[in-house]
Amino acid sequence: MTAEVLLVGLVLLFIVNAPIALAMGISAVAAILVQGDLPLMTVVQRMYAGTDSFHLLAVPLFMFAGVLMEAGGISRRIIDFANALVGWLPGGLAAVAIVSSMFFAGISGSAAADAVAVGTVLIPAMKKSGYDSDFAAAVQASGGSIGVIIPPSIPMIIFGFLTGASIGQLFAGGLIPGVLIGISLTVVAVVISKRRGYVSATRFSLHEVWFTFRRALLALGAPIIILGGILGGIFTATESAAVAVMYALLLAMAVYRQVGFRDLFPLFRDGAVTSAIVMFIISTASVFSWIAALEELPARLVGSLLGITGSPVFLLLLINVVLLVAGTFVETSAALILLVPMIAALLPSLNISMVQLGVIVVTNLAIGMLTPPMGICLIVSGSISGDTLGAVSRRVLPFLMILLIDLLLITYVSPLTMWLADMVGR
Amino acid sequence: MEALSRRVNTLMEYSLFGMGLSMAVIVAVQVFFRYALNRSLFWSEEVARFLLVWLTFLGATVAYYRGANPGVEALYDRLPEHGRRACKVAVYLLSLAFFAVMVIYGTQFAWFVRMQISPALRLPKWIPHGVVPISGSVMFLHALNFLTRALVGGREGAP
Repeated sequence: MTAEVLLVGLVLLFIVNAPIALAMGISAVAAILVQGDLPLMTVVQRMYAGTDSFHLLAVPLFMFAGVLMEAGGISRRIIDFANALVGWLPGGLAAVAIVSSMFFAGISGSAAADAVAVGTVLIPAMKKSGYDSDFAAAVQASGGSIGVIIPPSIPMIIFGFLTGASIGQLFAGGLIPGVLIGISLTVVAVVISKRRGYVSATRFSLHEVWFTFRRALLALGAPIIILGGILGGIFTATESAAVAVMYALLLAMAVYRQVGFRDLFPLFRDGAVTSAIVMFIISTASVFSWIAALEELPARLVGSLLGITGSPVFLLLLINVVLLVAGTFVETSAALILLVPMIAALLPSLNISMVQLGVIVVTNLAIGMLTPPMGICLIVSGSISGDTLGAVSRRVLPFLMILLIDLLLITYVSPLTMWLADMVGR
Repeated sequence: MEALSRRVNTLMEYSLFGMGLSMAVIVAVQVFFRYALNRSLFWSEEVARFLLVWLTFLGATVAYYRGANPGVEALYDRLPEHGRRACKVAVYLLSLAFFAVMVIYGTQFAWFVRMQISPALRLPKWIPHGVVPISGSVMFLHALNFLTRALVGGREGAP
């Protein structure tokens, strides 16, 4: 009965559009009341314990680093550099949007932040150069999804927190898959642009590449500090995030001088609110998943999945399908907390490491950001371009197809993830 | 009540700024001490974690005030106007009950741990735990405000 109240309550609350964090908290309280033996005090105790973690500190810190970098004039420099690199291709601006998103993904840990930082500049630019508005939004939405695959990545931090997998290894593991996805998305964008006759206004010039590279050098230093510091074992993911915040402050305030003391208040405030949204979901979801675990829901799900198939290849495929469906309907951090305990329990039957499983899970959820109705990248890009969710989702289809191919590669070709991940912590 | 709700929110926004900035500085200082001065700080990790908990719960109130907590809009968006209003009122009432749980049992819990002290700072534990009932009561206030708006009608309340 308790399990039914928990699940039915959650679905009903989702239907009436309750905020996800509250939906999970309310259904958990209802389940406890029905169950009758547990004191309600455990609700607040679990809510507190769910957020009290040094690993999760990286969530707001990477959020601050991203916000500061963006306000500090860093997106502009990165975009100029990407423009010199790939702007001369047919559909050059579309390629620039994706390549800039890749670079920015190395600074920010969230796909929506990535899509906003690059999209506010490039979506209007694409429209002005004659690209269809909904195509421009679709390109930016798919580029933004790389934000959670190339490190730093907030979903990977949450995955590490939930499973005990090393966040540094997860970050390292995401790098090559992220670059693979970026290149394949660029190819699709160029092919479509060529067919539709979007031409490029610029020509390739080595001089321009060198000039814009020098201007962007300090900005590109941020991913190097973050990745190099973690890969080299100099600091933990959380510490690298704090160092990145200090670096961003230095660049934005002293070097580029785009941010003054007065600007710090809104930047830190909004960064804090954005991360609190994620953290509060984690908080109430920990109550929810605790009760789910008491009711042995993960074990039951694992049992029924293992009943379908015992082969690692099919199990991985099944996991991908479950995650893609969940990522479509549920917000990323909620999906992580609800599903990761169950999926992680399957690990012994999968023949892969926890780190690779983490990269697979995050890639799935990144694809979920591109599918309506809960596709955050679609929503953000559509609101920048002024297109409806429906229009953008139709144009995003070819990008989704290539992403699914990438996902299969990441799932079944372990070295893509593990080659770099194995170098960390040795 | 509208004005009180707004004023409390401004207070929350200022404290978020302070906590966010100091959290970043503290963790950076921790790295600096370890590498540059070769001394590890014993308190930094604990303070930063307490700040994170405070930032989470107070930040949640600001997000709630702004109506920024994401929901699943798929079906809701297709409802007619009065259906949406009914959903909203129902969600506000249930949320009020949840916030009440946060206030009542959060206070009980903070009272329960009041004699315990944190390992590094020797801070009484009710200080970090106290944020749960505080955050609960601020969101209770906002929810009451939204509920009145939805019942009186006219202006759109937050989700």
